[in-house]
Amino acid sequence: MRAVASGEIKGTGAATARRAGEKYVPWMLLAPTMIIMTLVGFFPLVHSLYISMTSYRPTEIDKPQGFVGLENYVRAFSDPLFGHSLLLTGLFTGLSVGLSLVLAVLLAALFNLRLPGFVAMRTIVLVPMLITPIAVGITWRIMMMPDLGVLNFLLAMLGIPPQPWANSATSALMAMVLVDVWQWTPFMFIIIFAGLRALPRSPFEAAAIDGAGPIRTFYSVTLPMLRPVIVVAVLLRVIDAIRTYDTVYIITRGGPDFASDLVSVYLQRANFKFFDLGYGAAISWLTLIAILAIVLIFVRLTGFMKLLADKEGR
Amino acid sequence: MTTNFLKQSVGRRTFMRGSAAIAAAAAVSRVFPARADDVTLNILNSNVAWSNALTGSVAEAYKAATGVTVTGESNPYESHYDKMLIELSQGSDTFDLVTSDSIWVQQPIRNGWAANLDDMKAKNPSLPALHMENLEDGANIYTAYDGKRFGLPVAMTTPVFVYRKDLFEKAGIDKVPTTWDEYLAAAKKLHSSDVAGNTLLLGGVDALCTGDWGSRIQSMTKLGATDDYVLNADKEPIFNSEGQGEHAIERLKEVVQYCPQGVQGFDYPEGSSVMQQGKAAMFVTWSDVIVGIEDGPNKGKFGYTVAPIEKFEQQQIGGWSIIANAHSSKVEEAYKFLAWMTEGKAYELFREGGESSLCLKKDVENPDIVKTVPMMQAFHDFAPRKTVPIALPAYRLTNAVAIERVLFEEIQAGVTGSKTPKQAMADAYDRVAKTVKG
Repeated sequence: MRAVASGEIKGTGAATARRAGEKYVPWMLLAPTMIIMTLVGFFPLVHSLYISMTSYRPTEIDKPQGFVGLENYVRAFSDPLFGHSLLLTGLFTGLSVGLSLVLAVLLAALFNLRLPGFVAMRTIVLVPMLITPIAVGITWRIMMMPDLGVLNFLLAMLGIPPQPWANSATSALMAMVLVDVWQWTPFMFIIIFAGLRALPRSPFEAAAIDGAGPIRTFYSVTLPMLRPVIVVAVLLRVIDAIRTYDTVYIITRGGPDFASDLVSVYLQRANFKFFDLGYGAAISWLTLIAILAIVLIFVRLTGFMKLLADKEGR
Repeated sequence: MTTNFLKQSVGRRTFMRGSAAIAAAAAVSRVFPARADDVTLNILNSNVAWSNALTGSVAEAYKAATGVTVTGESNPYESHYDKMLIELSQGSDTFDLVTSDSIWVQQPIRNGWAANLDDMKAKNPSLPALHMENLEDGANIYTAYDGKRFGLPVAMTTPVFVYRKDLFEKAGIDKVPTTWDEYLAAAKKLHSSDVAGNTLLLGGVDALCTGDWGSRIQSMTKLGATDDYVLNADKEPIFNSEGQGEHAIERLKEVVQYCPQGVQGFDYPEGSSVMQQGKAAMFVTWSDVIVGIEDGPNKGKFGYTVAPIEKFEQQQIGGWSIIANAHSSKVEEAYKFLAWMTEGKAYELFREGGESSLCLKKDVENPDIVKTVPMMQAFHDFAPRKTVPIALPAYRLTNAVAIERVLFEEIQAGVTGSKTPKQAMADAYDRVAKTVKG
């Protein structure tokens, strides 16, 4: 009785009850997301790992479909086409991201001059990345047709002989790089431009007082200060470039003679042309591991985590 | 309390009762079979002239005759195959009928995804008969398996030699080439800086394999009407048994120099475009992919005939087929639609819809049709040249697409010089044998 009458014990009981109820609230709120993420994300990932260890081929039901262990992974390492597609993807990514970065930094520096008409120009520059990649692929495929395309027509006006563009094994990859740079440079530009506009003015004023010219200021002040932004932009573009599929599939389908057979195109062919799902899942996993390795190496080399920690500390 | 659409107050219990009544009515409506005029057949369809007619004028005619609605989903060539396999391999009944390139169609048939039309008729004699005798025999073979019928052809195609009559005249070429030697000589003579002597389609899997290489190799060794030039009936590679595979690659190499720039990347659309726009003087390709070249600035200047030959008058017959999905809940309705098609009206509507790769016997045999569909001349030339129809490569296999891809890669390597023709064919033999075994 005394205990019940005392507010202390009564209060403790109520507090315990409240805490007990509260304990489950975060889980209840998180549950829908976790259930959905498990169903649509985690389960397919684990299932594809299982599929990669089978000879599952739903379109040839008269052939064995069972567990084969690591056989598909062994096959991938001895598959010259897979190795070739990985190398091409690396080359494509390096060229595309490198060129986009140079162009994006130059564009950002140019647009930072705030000359008349640049606000409208800035909007126009962003248009390519707003177009769906399928439309970009179809448009560029037509523009790059050697005899009927507008690119060779324009070159002829300048007195330059026609080029085969995507229709030759020697130039197809560069043509794909051109399309990718055209479409995704605006993405890097907008990130770098935003970073440039957010830089403090005092280091630039100090550089000016010290007599640094525009080029010296750009290399010694602007670029070092932009480093965290550039690292983020490059990281996002590297991941995106490795996954490039739509435009390449539409324009060359990986040809001619495997000259633009990026890993994404090869994966599509194994999985959805031959429906060799066991092998397709295995090379998908190997590609995922390769991308993770590249990202981790990039993060390590650029000191990305330190940059992030510094930013948060500030 | 809540309010209904008349802004009247409705009790919670009344609201629940009303909802339950609506749900029950919806469930009951599904129990009773739909009336005939409520039946809708859905087709996984292509996107060419006959397929547009299939869900257009043909659907209208069938609706008028039976009250059944026919709808469909158009797909471009490349994604059609992927979609067909995904739908059928998973037992989906979204589509009651499925159209398929004849080179793919044995896959659904042998995997049990296509309804066995003969067994259906045997089980239910009240079903109408299929009048396959109205359709071309060469096109009928693809939807037959183990003596049973699984579908019908919708279009019959063959490699057609397309040439510019005006340019031939201008170059003084009196005789349309009937051999590959004559073709080479014509390409040389016609070639200029403005117009290429001919074009190949080296960048397209089907276009290079069955179109360019296929049209050369098809006449190099003696074959029977149901034989193909890649595998024999025991599924063993035969495509280089007498060196014919290498020779066909050499035949392609000798005319590459008379092709437009960028020919390495050309597929069907580019080939048709360069011909339509007058950038090449001749080419050989499948009859169903050249629809539209007469719509350009050179209308009326094209001639059409069967492909030149090496030794034997033999021509591949391909095309498109239609099957009933074995998993469809309306498979008998699908059967009835196919039976109605075999009566002939649907095929006439395909022709009126602009299709030129016809498989209705009375159309193919009618000389008046050639006047309205010039491309039909190629089929009419079969008889005077005593051409024997032969089958598409590897059509008996469920993975013919994989075989075609292997051949494409090796033929392309041989033509572009990455490999010698001999090495390319040796590698192709190994890879094809492995692919057949799976």
